Amino acid sequence: MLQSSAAAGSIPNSSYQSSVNISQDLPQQPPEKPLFVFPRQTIDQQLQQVLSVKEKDKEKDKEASTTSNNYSDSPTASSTTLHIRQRSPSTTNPTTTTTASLSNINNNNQPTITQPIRFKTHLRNTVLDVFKDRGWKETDSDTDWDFHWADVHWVHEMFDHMYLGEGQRINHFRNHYELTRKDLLVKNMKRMIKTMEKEYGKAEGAKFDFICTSYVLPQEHALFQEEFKRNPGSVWIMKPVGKAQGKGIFLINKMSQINQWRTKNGGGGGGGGGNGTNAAAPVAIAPNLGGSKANMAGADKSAGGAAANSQGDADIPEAYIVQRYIENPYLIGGKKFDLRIYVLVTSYSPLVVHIHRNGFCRFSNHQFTMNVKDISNLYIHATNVAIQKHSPNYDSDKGCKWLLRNLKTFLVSKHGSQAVNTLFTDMEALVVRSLLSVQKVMIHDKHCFELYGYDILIDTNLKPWLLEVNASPSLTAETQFDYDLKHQMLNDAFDVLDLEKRFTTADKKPRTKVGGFDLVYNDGPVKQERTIHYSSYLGCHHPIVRAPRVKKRLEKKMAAAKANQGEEEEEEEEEEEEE
Amino acid sequence: MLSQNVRHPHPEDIEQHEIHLRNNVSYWSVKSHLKTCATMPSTSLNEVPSIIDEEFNKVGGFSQLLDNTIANRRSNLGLRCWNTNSKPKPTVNPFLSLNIPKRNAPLSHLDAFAQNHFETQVRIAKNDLDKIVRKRLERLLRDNRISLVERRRKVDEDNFFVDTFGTSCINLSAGLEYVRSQEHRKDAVVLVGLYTDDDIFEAMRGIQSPKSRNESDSKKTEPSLFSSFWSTCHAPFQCLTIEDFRYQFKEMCPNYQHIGADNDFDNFDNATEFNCKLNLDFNQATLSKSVNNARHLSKLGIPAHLRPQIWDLIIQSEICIDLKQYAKDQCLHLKAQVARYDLLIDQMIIYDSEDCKADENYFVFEDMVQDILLLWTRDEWNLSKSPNAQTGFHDIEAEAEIKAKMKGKWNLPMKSYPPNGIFPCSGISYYALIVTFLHTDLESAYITFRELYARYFFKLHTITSAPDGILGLSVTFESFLKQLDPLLFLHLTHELGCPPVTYAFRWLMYGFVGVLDVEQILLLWDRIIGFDRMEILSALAAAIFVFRRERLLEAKTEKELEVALSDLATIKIIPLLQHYFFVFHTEADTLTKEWKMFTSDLSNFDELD
Repeated sequence: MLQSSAAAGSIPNSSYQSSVNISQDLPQQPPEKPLFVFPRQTIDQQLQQVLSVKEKDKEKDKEASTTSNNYSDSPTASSTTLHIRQRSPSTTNPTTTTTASLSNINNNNQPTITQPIRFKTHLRNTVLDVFKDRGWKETDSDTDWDFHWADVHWVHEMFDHMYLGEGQRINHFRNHYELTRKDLLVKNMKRMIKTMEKEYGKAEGAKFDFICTSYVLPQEHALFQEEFKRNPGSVWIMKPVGKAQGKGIFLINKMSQINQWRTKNGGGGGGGGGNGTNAAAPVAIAPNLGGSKANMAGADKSAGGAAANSQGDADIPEAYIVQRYIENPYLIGGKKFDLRIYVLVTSYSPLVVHIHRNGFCRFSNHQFTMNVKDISNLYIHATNVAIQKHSPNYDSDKGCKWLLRNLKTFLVSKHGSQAVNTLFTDMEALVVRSLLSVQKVMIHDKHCFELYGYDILIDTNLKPWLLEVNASPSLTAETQFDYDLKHQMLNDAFDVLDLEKRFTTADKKPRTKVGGFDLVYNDGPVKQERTIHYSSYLGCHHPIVRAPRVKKRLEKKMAAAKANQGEEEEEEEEEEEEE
Repeated sequence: MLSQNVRHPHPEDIEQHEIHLRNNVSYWSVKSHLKTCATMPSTSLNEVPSIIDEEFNKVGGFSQLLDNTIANRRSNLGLRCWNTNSKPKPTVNPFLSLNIPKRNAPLSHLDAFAQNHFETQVRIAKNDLDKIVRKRLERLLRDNRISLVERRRKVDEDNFFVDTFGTSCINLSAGLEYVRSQEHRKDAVVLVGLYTDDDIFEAMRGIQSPKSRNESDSKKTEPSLFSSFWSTCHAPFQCLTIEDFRYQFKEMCPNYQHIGADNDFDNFDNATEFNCKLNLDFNQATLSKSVNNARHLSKLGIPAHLRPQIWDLIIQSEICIDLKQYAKDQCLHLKAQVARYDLLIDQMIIYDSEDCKADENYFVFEDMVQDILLLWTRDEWNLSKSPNAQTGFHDIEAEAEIKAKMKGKWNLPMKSYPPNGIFPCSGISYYALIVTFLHTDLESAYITFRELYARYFFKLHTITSAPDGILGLSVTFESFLKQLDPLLFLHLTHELGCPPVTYAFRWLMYGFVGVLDVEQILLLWDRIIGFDRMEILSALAAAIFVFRRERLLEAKTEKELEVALSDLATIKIIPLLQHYFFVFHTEADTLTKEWKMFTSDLSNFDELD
């Protein structure tokens, strides 16, 4: 009684409040239940009404799209030339104070869905929690689902034999590997640069030059050898084309090392050698390759299922890609890091790209050095969480994800806001350009969307380099903070896709900002409300809301990790891979 | 030649001043520089005076450095003259005889007896705290049989000299990593800082408001309306009122354009214009190297990329021509010390800095924080510069017992223990975190940290009778909150039984590190450095409470209270301060209405009881 009267006290209502981001203080309501529950007997009736409304909406849609192209402020540019936009000379962090909180919008819209969305997934991590928190129902059925969070194997095996119904959505494109396999990405980028140079000149082509010099082995071995001789003393990195999580990666600085690898990899029995250097024994790399064969065999055994899998096709020499190693990465606190940025592509034709503001930096646990004797130490050179986990310095309580916002704050104090805005806008352009270069080859399908995890590295000249694109970025959370971050990102992604049809308006125009996702490309660069000066929203302040639940598996996982490290990882880490 | 420029005509002093100057490295570097200028073959003898004059007075030249240092010390003295509770000692320091800007002494409203009484109490509280710290240290030594200082083994020492980048400098991180890997944490003694925020808080609560000797004076000693009524902290400071704040911090007013408020509004073009203008101003300030100019600008916030230079300009208390080189020289010596011996205090610092690796904003800088603090414990510069440097064992020779505990036959150049004279409190790494976002290299970061500590940070965990010590800040916070929202204050103190200061204390003590967003903390410290006043911390803490008013009033348990005060990372501090201290005021009507409702509820409550 006391409380209520006190709480009823006058609320200061001032224009300043809007700038203080008050919206964050309101408790966010997860949309667990549909807000409108109809009495049982009238559900069918209602449904029919709703459906008929939907039909009408669709007709309206058609009319709208044919009569007037009402995309008033979405600038149209040729889809192939993404112009570098003007950047602002200012320190501005465009922060939008309104956050599209689900509960608000629910009230404004027609209730269209009475039946919960049925989803199917094999993952048992953050994704599952997000589905449940949205009130969706899990299903085991192979065909009868509204939403399938599939792994890439399923896509390869099943997709071609399936007919997808009207509202069904799936999280991969049929040939997603055009972008996510390292060799194909390089191939597509090379082709794009050639076309751009031919059509728009060298300068335009150079804008697509954000992948280090790369060669696919064994096919381009001669070319590589030539390049290697031209740059004596250079360091190169070898990556298997179809593996993720830093498996099989090693650094070389002598031609002999690659010859050794070739003999190992080429011979039938030696196939295991190349594969042996995977997650279980990341330190046993190049210099060891010649020597400790027994070591390798041991590594293979402990690697269990994954290695057995790759040994199956050990007869075929595994394709590797060799890339010029970036020897001057930007260091913070003496440590190397790369960026993980989440990119949501809802359509390739036209290309529609959303980028999430809360990307993060992943750090290695050791001081960076280009010392020759440490060249085989992957704890220094690789930033993959999967590798760093095994580092002697690794501490599972320790945060390892540094928000882009912090990076921005840090960089601005060193280089000024202009340089940093340029960098972030460049990164945004990099993402879009890489997507543009595969747009033509990608098989478009309106059922598909894709959530990519971009890995980007910044060098000391503040130039972003694209390392790789992951089709299934890891969604397993390491810490509660990590969990909150991923939970929010996924929730935002599903808001963009909007299966519930909460946000879909009559004209089907994509919204420019949904949670942390900003629309950056919609059949042409999106400039949003900013007209003259453009700087990317990437890394802008987007508060992370506490997830509605505590990460359950965190404790369980930690206990399991203590018990037996080896086995548990095979279960937990199966995601971030393709092929 | 140089002494003529010091504005002191007394001939007998000049000699003294010269000795002072000769002790400064910069004196010699300036002298040699002038010499080379003057003896250039192209110059004729007649030109020499004009050349020297020009060199001396150019932008960033020695005369400006002197000016800056004088301005700097002046503000320092202004703060400290009543801090030490004694008249400034008659020293030969040339800066003392300059006019010190007068600030109202906070205890001037008390009579001599009450002042004395209060100060004795403060001293007792401080001594008690010191005693606790010593006792803990002694117990630690006894229980774990660790020595206070230990010379590193040769192997360990060598690892500090691993040259990673092909340079012959000492690599602290590499060495420490090695040492740690050797120890395997075998003893696994967890050494937490010697005193925590709770200890300080407890000590502070013991202080009572003084009573006047004669009853007739009671009116005079009765503090002004807000200061001690219902308070948790009792100190008879004459606190700032909101009006005072508005007057003394007039640059905080929304009429001024601020970085942190006006540069990221939706109106993009205005913001751009503002930014352009600011950049111009600041470039001029950095170029002109004038402290006063920079300080004035700092009150409005500093653009991020100029912050390191401007902060250094404002807080630098040493006269040095090349700050980078100076920092390097200083650190070289200290690093060698780190490599040579291991202090018991080191373990506490390492443990403390490990704390920050759980924080998702700061974990990147764990190593850097550790290195900064290790250098800091070995820096005797603090003995003379840091006012709280007496907390350690300062007279080693006198305390034979302590001396005996220091192992090693080597010639230990240690005047006090720890060498900087300060026992670290737990959470000391929070202070170092502030500078990690400013500098990439350890040396510059360390010098900035050292100056900031000696100027501001030490106040946040030292009990003094100064109004901007932690005691004064807590009292000011309570007073602000009472003025802004008496109802909220009453609700928290009397209905929930959780005095707001118990929550705000940690914010104040650690300068909001770990509570607010990194950028906001930097913006906050811009203002603190600019105004050279710590009261902004209190004001901000009060503003946050009022900002969360509704949720705090709804809270029924301590836990709910905690929840209501969590997640402050989204707050933008400058608009918040401006709103509550310059715009917002509750009308008298609403206040009375609320009050009536409140009291009627109270009476109902009593009846029900």
